[in-house]
Amino acid sequence: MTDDDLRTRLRRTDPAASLAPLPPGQVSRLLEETMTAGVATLPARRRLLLLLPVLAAAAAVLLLAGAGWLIFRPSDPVAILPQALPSAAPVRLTAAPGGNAKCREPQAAMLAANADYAFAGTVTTVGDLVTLRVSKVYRGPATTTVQVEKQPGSSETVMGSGTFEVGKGYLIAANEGTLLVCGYSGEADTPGLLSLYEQAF
Amino acid sequence: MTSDDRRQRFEALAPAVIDAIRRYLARRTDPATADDVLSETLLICWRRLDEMPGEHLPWAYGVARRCLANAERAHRRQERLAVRIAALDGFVVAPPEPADDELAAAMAGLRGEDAEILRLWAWEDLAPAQIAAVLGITANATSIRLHRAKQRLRDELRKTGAAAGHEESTEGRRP
Repeated sequence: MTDDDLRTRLRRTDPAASLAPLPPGQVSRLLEETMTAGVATLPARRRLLLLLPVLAAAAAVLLLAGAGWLIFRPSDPVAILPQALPSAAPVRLTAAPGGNAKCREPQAAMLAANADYAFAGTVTTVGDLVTLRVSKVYRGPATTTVQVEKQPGSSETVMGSGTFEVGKGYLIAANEGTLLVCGYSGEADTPGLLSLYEQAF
Repeated sequence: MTSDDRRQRFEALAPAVIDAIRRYLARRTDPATADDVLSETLLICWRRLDEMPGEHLPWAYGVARRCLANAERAHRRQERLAVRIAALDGFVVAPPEPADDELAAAMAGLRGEDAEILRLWAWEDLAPAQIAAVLGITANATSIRLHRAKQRLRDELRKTGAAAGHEESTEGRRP
């Protein structure tokens, strides 16, 4: 068997032979996300740490229950921690009473009234800590990086499509360290979310 | 280079990189991981645009290769798949036609690095110097390895062909 025959035979088994090209819209989105994520490369002067204990089961139920864009609330709170404060030990907030997963339709006024920290950012790394590069702070102290810490046993599933994904943009609001997820935080391209933020802040 | 120049350069070369890297990843991993690694690879290409050589595809394959190796070390794939199966789009690949079980078995019988150099040669359609850039080895070493890998594949094909008596085997392994 010649080299050419061998190559031809291998090519016939190429698993990507039938891969359709990415639609132009998705290519542009991918490019935009990439370049936006890469622009803000300032060193982090101040980091905020979000503790995000989300119950997998609750998230799964909500994923199923979510109509339109997903709105849900974890049964545990999320802590947003100014890490730069001297000797700030990680603060664990107590769980909010009840695990009610039903959410009312998000209102800009509610967001404006409740969020003490809100920002737009792109996920740069996902691991035990999810790191977001902040592209815009809507409310609260300026920062370049926010980290979300997943607690042991918590799910990777958080909001929007259900995960934090590297390169994706998110809009995130928090109140006293508690992440507002009941329709108030999610993927930046979740329909309606950006306009909600623009209305609120 | 101004930031506008940078953007323009990236916008000009990225679509070809996206297409090539999507294929590279579709051949080697599950759709969810492919999606993640594509984003990560692009981000690195964008940040290191100034280091990108004129022949940027092999360089980008090299980046994707390292990102994929990291991703596969870091993630428990099955769990992630279960969570994310609903979010998949665009990466789903139909099985190749017609299935060549004998070749699949022969490829599976090779050492990983031999199989990979053959994939880069046949699927990514790279010349030895380009494969060298992907793998970070010299062109000379690549030529030797590629030559040996082809020979080993022929040997494997002879073995599997003889074992199967040239009948269609039904339980083919995929590479």
